[in-house]
Amino acid sequence: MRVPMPLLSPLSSTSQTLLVLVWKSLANRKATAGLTIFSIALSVALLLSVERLRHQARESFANTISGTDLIVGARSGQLQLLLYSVFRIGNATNNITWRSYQDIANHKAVAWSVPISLGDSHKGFRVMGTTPGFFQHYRYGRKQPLKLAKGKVFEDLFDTVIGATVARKLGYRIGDKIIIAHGLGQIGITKHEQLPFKISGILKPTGTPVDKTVIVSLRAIEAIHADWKYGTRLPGAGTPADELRKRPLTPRAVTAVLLGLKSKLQVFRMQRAINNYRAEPLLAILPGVALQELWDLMGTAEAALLMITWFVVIAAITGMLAMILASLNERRREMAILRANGARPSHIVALMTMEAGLLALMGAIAGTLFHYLLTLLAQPLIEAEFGLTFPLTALSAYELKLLAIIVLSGCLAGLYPAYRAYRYTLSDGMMVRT
Amino acid sequence: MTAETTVVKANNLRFQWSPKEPEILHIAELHIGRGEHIFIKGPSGSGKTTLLNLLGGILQPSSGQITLLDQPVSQFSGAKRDKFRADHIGVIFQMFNLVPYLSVVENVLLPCRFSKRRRKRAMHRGRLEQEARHLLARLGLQDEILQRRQVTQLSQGQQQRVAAARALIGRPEILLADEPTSSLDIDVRIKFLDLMFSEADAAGTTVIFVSHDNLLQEKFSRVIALNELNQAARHRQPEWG
Repeated sequence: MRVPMPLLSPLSSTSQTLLVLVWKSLANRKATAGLTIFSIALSVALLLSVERLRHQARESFANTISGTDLIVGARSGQLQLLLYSVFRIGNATNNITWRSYQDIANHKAVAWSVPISLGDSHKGFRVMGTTPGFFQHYRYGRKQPLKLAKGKVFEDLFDTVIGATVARKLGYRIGDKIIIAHGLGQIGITKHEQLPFKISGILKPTGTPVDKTVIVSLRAIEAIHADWKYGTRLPGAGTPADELRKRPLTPRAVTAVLLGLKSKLQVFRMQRAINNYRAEPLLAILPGVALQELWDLMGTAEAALLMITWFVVIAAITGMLAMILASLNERRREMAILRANGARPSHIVALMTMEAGLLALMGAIAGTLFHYLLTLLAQPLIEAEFGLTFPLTALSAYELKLLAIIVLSGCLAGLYPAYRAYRYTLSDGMMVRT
Repeated sequence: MTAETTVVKANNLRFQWSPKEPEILHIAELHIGRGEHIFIKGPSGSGKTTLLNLLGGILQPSSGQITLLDQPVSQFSGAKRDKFRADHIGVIFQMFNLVPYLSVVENVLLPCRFSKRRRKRAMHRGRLEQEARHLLARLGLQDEILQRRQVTQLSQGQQQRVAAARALIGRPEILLADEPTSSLDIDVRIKFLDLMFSEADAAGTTVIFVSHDNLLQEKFSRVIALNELNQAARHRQPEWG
């Protein structure tokens, strides 16, 4: 095969000569050089992909909820409130009374408020009661609103809108009837079976816990508990659905409230006001701050993943080093020939370092292409599965820095075989008898 | 003989790898004139390769002086000696002279990549490649296909002729040849020598040829027996001889 590199022009400098020699020498060892480049490329692709995934995951996590200025719940810990109100993990220790909610919602600084009520479930997915305002005000990612994939927001009392994951995992379609269980367990729990819900809408994937949520109206939560007291159903009672539809069904309490304020400047003042609310102990948190705190808690796993990826890069460069060292002995004669024809020992050192650098550079370029190919192929899958968006953007300054570090460490690794070759050069002179 | 016509001058030349090891070479005086064809003969171990490495500037003498083309080469720094070798000396080995991943023409042009002087001198007729092809043709490798073939596919004799073309490109003043014919058949050896001499004469190059093959010595203008020249050899243990 012809090597696609032009013959040297007569005026080329020595470094160009060396580069051509390196290139042709590598082309002469296509199989080993190719495998070395491939292994570096794989590690680079892995590093870039993990970095992007990490970055995207962090960003998407930090934007699980956006556009909400304050989250209000009963007084507990900041993380606990965040976990149950946004991630549907764990439980509220206490509720907010409807009166307190009214007080907050009518505060002059508040632009909008969305109460949510949690505590029931459907086949392992949490049921959340809320107002239609939730669909209007809840934002995730870069202030993206929730969108319906099919159907419409609930109109009837016993309508429900389900998240994308719920629909996919349970195979639900518009019009299907579902039964909500009381409490959060899966086995041996009571169900609100006299009052089935009809699926009126299915949301598009968001990559947030909304995907795993069954959303009903706040009134519906009241309705299914109409015949309940002290945590159990009253025996014999069974108010028919039509009867319930006529009732006002004002909730006695809600679990948490999402607040939007008229001005960002009022966030801290409002937070303090809520935290000092007299009628009952409440807690208001800034979702961004709480999300950051939560992410920092999970930072160790993230750091471990990154470390493993770097080890893969180190392994690839070590493999390259082994390849060059193995080739060194059979290339002693080649060095002696070059030396006899005017190459200096420094040229031999440059030759070996350039070889390592060139392998690392080609590995980095091929790895970047791999990474883009991988992104292109996995993009639809990841978007559908996790709601993470993976735009095919150009390499960032940070990513270029990573690549530069890899190529530079390749060159540095090349210094060792270069030193060995240099020693050979000095002891062999220009005559090697084989 | 004026200074200008003396190409190699060595005075009281001594070499040993380290002060603890025995002396390998001790030459009281060696003069080689311009255009001479010198045959240096001696059995293996007599210090032939050491002498070539010293003349080529790869090794430094432990004491004594080497003057090449009126320049005190043995007093030069390593880098300066490397440059001197690249500019003024062509080298042929016993065998495997060629860089396997370069083409025939690229192999011939190798010295022109490291020496500006030889590049300039090789271009007197026009393009570098043209000069390489011309030299190859003079050495009996005119076949276009042969010139484009992989060097590893050439026969030993062909490879040595490529090496001769490479050693002579850019008309260096000195040609150092380390048993270049020992891998060739007897009938090919004489032909190779004739071609090499005629090209060396055309370029004005002095040939210093090292071999233990006494059959060839009558083709040379002067024969030096290294055993007689090298005084270090006389003091050495017999098993080292």
